[in-house]
Amino acid sequence: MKKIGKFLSSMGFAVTLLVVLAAACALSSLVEQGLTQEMYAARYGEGTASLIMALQVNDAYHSIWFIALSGFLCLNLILCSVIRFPFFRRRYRAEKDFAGALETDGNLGERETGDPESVFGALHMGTPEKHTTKDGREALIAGKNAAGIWGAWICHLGILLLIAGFALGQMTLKENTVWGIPGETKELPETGLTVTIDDFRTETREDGSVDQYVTEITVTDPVSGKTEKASVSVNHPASFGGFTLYQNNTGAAALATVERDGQEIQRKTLLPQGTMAESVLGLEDQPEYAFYFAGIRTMREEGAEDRTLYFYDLYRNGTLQQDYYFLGDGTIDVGGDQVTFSPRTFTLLVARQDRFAPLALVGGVITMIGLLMAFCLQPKTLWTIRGENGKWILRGRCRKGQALMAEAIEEAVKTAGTHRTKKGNG
Amino acid sequence: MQNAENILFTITMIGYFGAMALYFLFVVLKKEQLARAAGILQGAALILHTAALVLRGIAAGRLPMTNQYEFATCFAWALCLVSLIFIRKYRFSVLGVFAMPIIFIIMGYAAMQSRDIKPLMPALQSGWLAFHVSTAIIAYGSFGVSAALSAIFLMRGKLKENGFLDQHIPTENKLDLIAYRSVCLGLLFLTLTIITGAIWAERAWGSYWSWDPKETWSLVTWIIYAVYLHLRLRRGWKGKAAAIFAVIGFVCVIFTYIGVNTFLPGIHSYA
Repeated sequence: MKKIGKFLSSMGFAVTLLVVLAAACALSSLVEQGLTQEMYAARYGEGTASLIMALQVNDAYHSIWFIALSGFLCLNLILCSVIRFPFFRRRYRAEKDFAGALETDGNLGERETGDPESVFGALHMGTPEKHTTKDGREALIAGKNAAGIWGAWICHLGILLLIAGFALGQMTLKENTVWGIPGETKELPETGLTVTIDDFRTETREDGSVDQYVTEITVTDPVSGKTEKASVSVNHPASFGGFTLYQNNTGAAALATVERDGQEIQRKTLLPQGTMAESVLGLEDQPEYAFYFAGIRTMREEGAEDRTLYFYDLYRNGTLQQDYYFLGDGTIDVGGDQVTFSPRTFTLLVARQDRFAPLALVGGVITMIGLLMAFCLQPKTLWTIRGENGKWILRGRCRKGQALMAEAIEEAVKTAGTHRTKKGNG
Repeated sequence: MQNAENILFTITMIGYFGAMALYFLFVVLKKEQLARAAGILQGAALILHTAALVLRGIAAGRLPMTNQYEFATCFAWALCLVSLIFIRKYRFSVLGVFAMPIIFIIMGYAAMQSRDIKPLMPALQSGWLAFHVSTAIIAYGSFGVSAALSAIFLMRGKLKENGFLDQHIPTENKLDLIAYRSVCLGLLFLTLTIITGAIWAERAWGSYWSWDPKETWSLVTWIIYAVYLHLRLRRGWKGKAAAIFAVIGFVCVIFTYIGVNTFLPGIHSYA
C-alpha cells in the first residue's frame, strides 16, 4: 500500500501523466470534435472512423480515459501536496534558521571582505543581524525571500483548485439557449424565467462592418412577478437569478403567419435548415400541410446590391408538393388560408450557470501567485564571520542560480575593495 | 500615417538584417567592434520598430495586437527587446547570432500578412485584449530567447576549439541558468495569458475554456515547459537534455502561434 502511495505521489508519475495528457490534447485537437461516425468515415475512411469512435476521440475531452488521466493528476497533486507539506515546512524553517546557517559552509564559496555592510548593501540583502557562532565568533547574517520556498507548493495547490473548479463546473453546468425575434417571449428552460426579446439590432460602422450585436430583453420571474430589463451584447453579458445571459449568435429567420378571412390564426418564427421544431410550420387547421424553411441564398451581381432569396418547401402528407422562393415577404394560399413569410433576424442568447467558475478563477490566481513566488523570490542567505585576522569571511547560500549569485557576490566584494580567497562552487 | 508605418517597418527590417549580418561577421572576423556595432544597430532598429508600432496604434485607435501581422511584428519586437536585455545584462553578444535570424524570420512572416487596419469585431472589443495579447507576446519572446540560448548551449561544445568564441560565450552552467530563467519568465507570462484569456472568454463566449485548438495548444505548451521545470528541479536534468527540451518547447510555441491558425481553425481564427 505504501509503495502504491509513493508511486502515485511521485514526480515520475506526475511527469508521465503530464506528457500523456499533452500528447492526448495535441492529438485530439487534430480531430474535429463532436462529429458522427458517418462524417468521420467520409473524412478519414471507415477503419479510422471506427477507431475514433471506439477510443472516444470524437469527444476526447469528456471521454472516460481523459477524465481518468485528469483524476490521476488530481490524486497525484493531492498526495504530493499533503506528503510534501512537512518537507516544505522543514525547508522554510531551515531557511529562517540563521544560527544553523552560520555553522555551515554555504554553497557559494568563501571570500574575505573588510567592509561587510557595503557587500550586504550592494547585494540588496538589507541590514544584517548580529549573531555569534557556536565557537563565540562575531557574525553578521541576512536572508531574504524565504517565502519563495512555498512557491511550488502554492502553485500545485492552485492547479488542484483550478482542475477541481473546472471539473465540478462541468458536472453541475446548466446551459440553455433561447432564440427569437423582437416581440417574442420564450421560456428559459431550467431557470423558471421567461425572456421577452424587446429589440435586437446589429450596430454597424460607416464602412459597413459590424460594431456590436445588441439584444434588449425583459426577464420575468413568473412566480414572484418580478421583471428586469437588460441589454445583452458581445462581451457584455447580463445576470439574472444565478444565470448569465450571453449574446451568442444571430442570423436569418422568417416569421410565418397564417390568416383566414383577414384574421391571424397561427404564428411561428422559423430558422432555415434547422430541426423539425425550428424549421417546420405545420398548419394547425389543415394538418396534412406543412412548410419547411429550406434555406436562404444571397445573389450577387456586379454593380447591384446583394439580394437575398428565401426558400420554402410545401409538403402534403409528407410529400413535397412545391417549392417557393421570395425576395423578402411572400404569401402562399393553402386551401383558403393565407400563409405569409416575412424575413427577420433572430438573436440567440445562451444562459449559463457555472457555480464553480469562481473556484477555478481562485485556482488560477493562486497558481499565478505560486509561480511568482517560485520564480521571483529566490531564497538567499548571506553571512560573514569575523576571522582571526580581523577580516570578515563571507559565505552564502541560495537554492537556484548559484553561478549568478556567486558572480554577483564577487562583484560586490570587488566593489567593496577586498580580495577573493576561494572560488564559489557555482 | 500607415505609409509612415510601412516605411518604418521596412527600415526596421533592413536594420534587423544589418544587425544579423554584423553579429555573423563578429563571429567570423572575431572583431569586438562588430558586436558593438551590431548591438547599436539592433537597438536603433528596435526604436524604429517601436515607432512603427506606435504609429499603427494611433492609426488604428487601439493596441496593434489583433491580427496575424500585428501579432507577428509585436512578437518580433518582444523577442528583440528580451534578447537585447539579455545581451546587455550578461555581456553576451553571441546571443545575437542566434536570436536575430529568428527575429528576422518572424518579421518576414509579418511582411507576408495583410497590413490593412480593420475595425475590431465585437468579440475583440474588450479591455482584456491588451492584457491577454501583450502577455502572450512577452511569453513567446521569452521562449524564443530560451530556445536561442539552448541552441548556443548545444553548439558550445563544438565552439570550444574557437578561443575567441569561447571567450564570448558564458560557461555552460551560466548558459543553462539564463535559458532556465528565460523559460521561467515565459511560463509566468504564458500562465497570465491563459488566465486572462479564460476570464475574457467567459465574458465574450460564456465559457472560460472550450477546448478550442488555440486554447488546447497553449495548454500543451504550458505542460511541456512545466515538464521541463519538473525534470530540471527534481531530477537535476540540466544541460543538453534541458536544452533540447527548450528547443522542442519553442517549436510547440511556433505551432501554437502559426500552425494552429493555419491548420486547425477555431474560435481564435482571427488571432
